Amino acid sequence: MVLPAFARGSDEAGSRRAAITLKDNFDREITLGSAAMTVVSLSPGITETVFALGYGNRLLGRTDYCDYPPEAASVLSVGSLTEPDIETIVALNPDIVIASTHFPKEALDRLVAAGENVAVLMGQESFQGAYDGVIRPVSLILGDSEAGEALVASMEATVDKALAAVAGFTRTPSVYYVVGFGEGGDWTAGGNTFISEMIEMAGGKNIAADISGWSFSLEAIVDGNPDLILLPGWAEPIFKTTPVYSDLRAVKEGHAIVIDENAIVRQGPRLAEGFADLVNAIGSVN
Amino acid sequence: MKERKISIAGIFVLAAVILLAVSYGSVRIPLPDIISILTGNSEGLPETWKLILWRIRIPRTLAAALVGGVLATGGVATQGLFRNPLSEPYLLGISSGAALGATIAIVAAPSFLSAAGLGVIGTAAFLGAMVVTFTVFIAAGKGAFKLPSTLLLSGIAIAFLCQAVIWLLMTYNRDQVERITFWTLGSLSSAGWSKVLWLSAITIPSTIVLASMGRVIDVLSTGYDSAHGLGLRPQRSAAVILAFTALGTAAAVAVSGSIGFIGLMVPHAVRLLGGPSHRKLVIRSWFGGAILLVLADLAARTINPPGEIPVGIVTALLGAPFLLILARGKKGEGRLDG
Repeated sequence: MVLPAFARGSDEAGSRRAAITLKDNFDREITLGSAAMTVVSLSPGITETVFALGYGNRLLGRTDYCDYPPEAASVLSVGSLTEPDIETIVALNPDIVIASTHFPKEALDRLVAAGENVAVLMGQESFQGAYDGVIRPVSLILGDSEAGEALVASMEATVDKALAAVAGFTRTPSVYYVVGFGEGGDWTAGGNTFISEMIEMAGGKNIAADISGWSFSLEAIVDGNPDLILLPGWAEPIFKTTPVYSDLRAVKEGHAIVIDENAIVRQGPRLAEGFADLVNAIGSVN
Repeated sequence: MKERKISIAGIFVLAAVILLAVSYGSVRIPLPDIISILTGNSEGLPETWKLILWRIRIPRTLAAALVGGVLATGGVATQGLFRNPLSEPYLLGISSGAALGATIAIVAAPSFLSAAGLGVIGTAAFLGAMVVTFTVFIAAGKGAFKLPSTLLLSGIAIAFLCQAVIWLLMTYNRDQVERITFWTLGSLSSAGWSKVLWLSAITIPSTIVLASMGRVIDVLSTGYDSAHGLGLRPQRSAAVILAFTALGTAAAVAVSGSIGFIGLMVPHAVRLLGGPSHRKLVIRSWFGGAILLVLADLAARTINPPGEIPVGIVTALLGAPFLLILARGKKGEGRLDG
């Protein structure tokens, strides 16, 4: 994955007169004459980042998935991540369109052909990736790198505090992370996923660490006998009342906990909080 | 006499296959321990093994047998009645109706409390299947049971309609797209005892009814005129047969999602074994479907453990080549339509 290079046309950080150039994930050179005053975001993580930097008022458009912060709801939706409505975006005439993960090359080509200035920003799946791949370049585009540095610093502080808590854990509880369950089969985050990496960093042991990918089975959950089960919000009431799942030790002991998956999977400002929540959840069974 | 032997053989093979399926899973339990647990001598063995065998593997395997059996018998009934080798029970709108019902449940109440037994999604799927099948019958009009092709067309049209509504709901509920897709692909992973009871209560009686009406299907499959000649009321008989086919298939689809190919394929395979008597076909196809789906589900959960492949993918992957070989082999005889 390519990290954007930071090259400023001016020494004056944050100056709106400065020409801004950076490279995006498709290795494209992006140049802006001045800070972007109007933005269309094609990713929930980007939308969250723009709001967290304090520039939510510059958003002209977002995707159907951009549901955080609540204020994002008042921004016009331009469609889905993979098939944004090109006409709407062109009509909005933003200074820049910022996309991220799940954004297909075809959509990029169509937007560029329509004359839009597009940056595709995503980092490696790590905290550093979120800092360097998303938050810093977005703040640069908005002409306020200082806000970006401040946000990164506060995220780093949150992560450090959480890691300090992990250092105090006396044991490593086993964890099962629910992506899906029941009629459609059992799905979790295997050992090769960032979610699994976060669970291990947060002091837990992912019972699905041996698999790669997402497919798991009820038998393997029962056999794994996890100390802690992490659930997406929609799953909680059904999971806790469905036979066999309801008999899992973690459920009986009250250790099936809802976790905001969006905070963990989106490359954005909530990643650090999501990690802290994970540490809290794992700490609760320590 | 011969039929009794075949039935006994069917029972033995099915029992053997069920035992095989119960012995393997993503969690490895030694065979002697499995036998100990099954015979009630589980002293000292891990509680989780007992839970896995009694609460997950055994009911799941039995559910596979019941679902496979009823799908295959439904195939016999529809192929016979419609005199069309490509017929299968899903053409009555059952699978699309069930998928629509399940989709509505997933979208409208994504965190709704699970009801006892079937659960919300299963219940909605069953209701969807019944409502849509009924609609197919009504839409086909008065001639529905006189001219089977009307019914088939009506089923296909309404299936497209259901699919369009499902896609529309998916468009507006993108966050649920995965759940809907995986439900549609079919899985037995959530089949516990309550679902086995539910399946038994509906599919066994409906299979018995179909088998007992085997002679009637024989007559109807040669044409309704001859049925009249024999003093049958063909339209009424057809309606009863299709109603029980729909009921049994809907019960299966509500538990497992729409598992494809069994209803289409098994009756053809079974016909190779013997004559076209529908009573025999119903019984033999029940065993054939049950054995096949137990094996397919075993494959689905053991090919890449602990991950699972949706079982509908397995039946299609195995089924399509098998059907092609069968069709080529029978070319000279031209008897695919039984």
